Order: sequence, then C-alpha cells, then structure tokens
Amino acid sequence: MDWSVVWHYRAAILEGLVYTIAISLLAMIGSFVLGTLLGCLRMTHQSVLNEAINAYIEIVRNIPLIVKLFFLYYIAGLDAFPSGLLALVIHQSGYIADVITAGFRSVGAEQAEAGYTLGLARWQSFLYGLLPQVTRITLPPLTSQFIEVIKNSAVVMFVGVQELTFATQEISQMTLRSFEAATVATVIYGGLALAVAGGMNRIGRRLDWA
Amino acid sequence: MQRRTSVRWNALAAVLCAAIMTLVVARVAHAEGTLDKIKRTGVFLAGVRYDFPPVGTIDLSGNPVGFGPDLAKAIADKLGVPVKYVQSTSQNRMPLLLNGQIDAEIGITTPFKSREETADFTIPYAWDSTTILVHKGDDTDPKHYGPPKKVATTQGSGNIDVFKRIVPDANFVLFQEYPDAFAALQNHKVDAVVLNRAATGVALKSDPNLAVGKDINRDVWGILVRPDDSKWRNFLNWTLQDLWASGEYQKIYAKWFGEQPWFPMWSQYGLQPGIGGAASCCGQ
Repeated sequence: MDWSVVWHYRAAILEGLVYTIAISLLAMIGSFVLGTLLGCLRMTHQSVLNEAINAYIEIVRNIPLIVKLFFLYYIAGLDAFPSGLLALVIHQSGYIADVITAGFRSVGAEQAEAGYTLGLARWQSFLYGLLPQVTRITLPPLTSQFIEVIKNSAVVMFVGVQELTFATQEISQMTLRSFEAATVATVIYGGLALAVAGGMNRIGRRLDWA
Repeated sequence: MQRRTSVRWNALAAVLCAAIMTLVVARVAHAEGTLDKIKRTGVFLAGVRYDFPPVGTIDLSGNPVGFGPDLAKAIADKLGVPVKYVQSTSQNRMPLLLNGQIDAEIGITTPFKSREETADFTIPYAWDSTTILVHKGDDTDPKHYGPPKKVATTQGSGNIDVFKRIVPDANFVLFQEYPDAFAALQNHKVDAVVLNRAATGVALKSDPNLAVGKDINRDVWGILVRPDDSKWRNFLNWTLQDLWASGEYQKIYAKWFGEQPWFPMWSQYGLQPGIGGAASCCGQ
C-alpha cells in the first residue's frame, strides 16, 4: 500500500469531487421537482394524464441510465455535462414519482376528505393537509433516492466528465494502484452519502416539530 | 437521538469497511515465485485483452483471439502447461496480478515509470506508434489539432502525454473505451481520436470515411508481471527472445498485424548474448 499516490493526485480528486457534488446536487433538485410534480399529477386521477405518466415512469425505469446518457450525448447532441445532468434527472424522477405516489396512497383519501368537511378547497386540503404528511412519510425513501443519485453520477464519466470516479481511476491508470484508488473513492462516496443522510435527518426533525 | 446514533454507526461501518479492505490487500504476499507456482498448479494464467483487436479480442464463440492470446499460448507451450485466459482491462490488470488471478498480462501496457513503481515489466515485446484518426479529407497532421479543435482518447492512455508534447494545450475529451471515442468522432463531437496505430485497423474497417494521420511517437509494450520476481521475469524475457530466434514470434505478429515486425527484439544489434545460438550475433 502506498497512500502517497492519493496525495499526489489530490488536485484531480478535489476537482472530481466538485464535479460530482455539482452534478449530484443539481440532479437531486431536478429529479425531486420533476418526480414530485409527476407524483402529484398522478393523484389528480385524470385518465389520459395518468396513462402518460405511467408510460413515462415505465420507460424511464426500464431503460438503463447509460443508454439515456449515450442517447442524449451522441444522438440528441447535447454537451457532456448537460447530457449527464439530464440523464440523471430523468432517470431518478421515475423512481421519485413512484415514491411520492406511494406516500399519497399511505396517507389515504380520508385525510383529503377530512379537509373538505372542514370547508377547505381542494387545493387547500392538498397543500395543508396531504402534502406535509406525504413529505414526512417519503423522507426516508427519498434519502435512498438521493444517495442513489450520487452513486449513479459516476456514469457521466463515460462521456468524458471528469468527476470523482474518473479522478480516482486516473490514479489506478497512471500508477496501477487500484486498491488505493478504490478505497479513496469508497471513503469519499461514503462520506457524501452520510452527509445526505444527515441532512435529510435534520430536515425530518424540523418537520416533526412543525 | 435515535437517529444520531444510527448515523454514528454508519460512520463506524464505513471505517470498518475501509479497514477490512486494507487487511485484504495486505494479505497479498508472495512467498512462492510465479514460475514455481505455474509448475505446481500446471496452468499458466494469462491476462489478455478482450477489447483491443488485433492485440486481444474474442471470437463469435467467446474465445480470446489475437496477438496477445497467441503469444500467451506460445509461452505456455514453452512452459509445458496449458494456458488459461483471463480478461484484463486497463482497470483490473493490477488487482488481477496482485491477487494471483493472472501470472502475467500480455496486453497493451506501456511501462511508464510511475507504473514500474508498482509492478515489473519484461523487455519490450512489441512496438507501436501514436497517431490520430480523423474524418477522410481532414488535416492528417496531429500538430494542427490544437484548440479550439477537440481530440478524444481513453482515460489513462499514454497517448495523452505523447500528444501534449506536440500540442501542449490540447483540448482532450477522455472516454473509458475506444469505441466511445470513435462514436464521438463519427458524431462530430470531437475532431480527432488520438490512439495507437495498432487500433486504427478496426476503426477503418468499421467506417471507411475515417483516415489515419501521421505518426507522432513510438511506443513500447511490456508484459506486466508481479514485482520482485526475477526468476519469472527472466523466463519471460528469454522466452520472448527464443520465440523471436525460432521465427515463431514473427509468424504470430504477421498473422495479426498483416506485416512482419518492423522493430527488433531486445536491440537492433541482435538478441541478448546467450540466447538462440547463432541468431544472437555480434556480442563480443
């Protein structure tokens, strides 16, 4: 074991980390917004809209992330970073939409109906009655989804985005020290996942007080 | 409170995982030399490429074929044992070697100084050159591919340094595999692919609208072996020269590259004194 190679490549690792954090954060926000929107729209029970959303989710979940990425990069002709970001957003939004839908189902229609009997409009009942409960219920599965985004973000190196995995591969390519490289990647990804879990925990605790 | 504890446990688990990985790696010690191990187990485990024709690829039934597999077979014949092929990639070749899953890697590994600090190499067993692949009709001089033009190659490729010697501010897009770099060229994402001449044949065969540019630099390949195993490395060095002396090497080379080797083995003055009888000339 020779950990000095890690230090030697610190600039590359740091730069890769910045890319990983940037693309992951943007993809989390994007997929959360898109997924939540789809999940909520599904609750309107408009049959055409529902079919369309179901089809979207089915397609998105059944096509591997890398295929989406290659499609956006090579065929749609987007640049490397945008195609990577969009692929991550589209990919995770399918799963997040399902998580949100499940959240709504677990809260149950009677909660919305309780809102109506209190004289709330439909949107009020949704916004003040359902959504806070759904958010609380879906936080743990959303945490997994966000961690998934971080792990999936490594795929963007296949179109040449020099993110964290790319940077650690550089170590193993140039010095053949794959164990050190893999360990560094593991520790950093683990740290990122812990940070996300910690952040979501804080949000969860604030929601509990609300 | 409950949640905070669980986060702390996660952190502990992560540290434990890292510690276990370290232990697993530290376990890899090599008391027995590779040559003795091969004699004992009766098989030569050869790391060969599956993704780099004509050096190493697989045929329709999934068997490794190419210059590397044939050379490995020739070495196994000298050892008097059967050969077993193991797929090696740029990423896994070192772990495979250190774990003992392969005894040598016969791929397209150039002995960088930084690589030699971790592993050992035999004498150069083949020469190649760095060149560019461009669209037919485009400029074939690599010097003219500076910014704003983009050039593609694979991550960790020795060709990056070679190309930067003539275009220091080159605008590189780095892919994981050559087929991705070719696709980027075909889709006009990049203006050229920097690659080994040995890899251009496949690209030209699949797309007649591409053309090969001028050579930039010469490049050698070595057989990758575990460090500090002189007996095994000597055996390979001598066997390579024996195969050259008997003409078998040249036959294998011609079969896969379509021409006789244009480079000498060991030195332009002949083989190492003591090898192959009369074929090693000139040494006083």
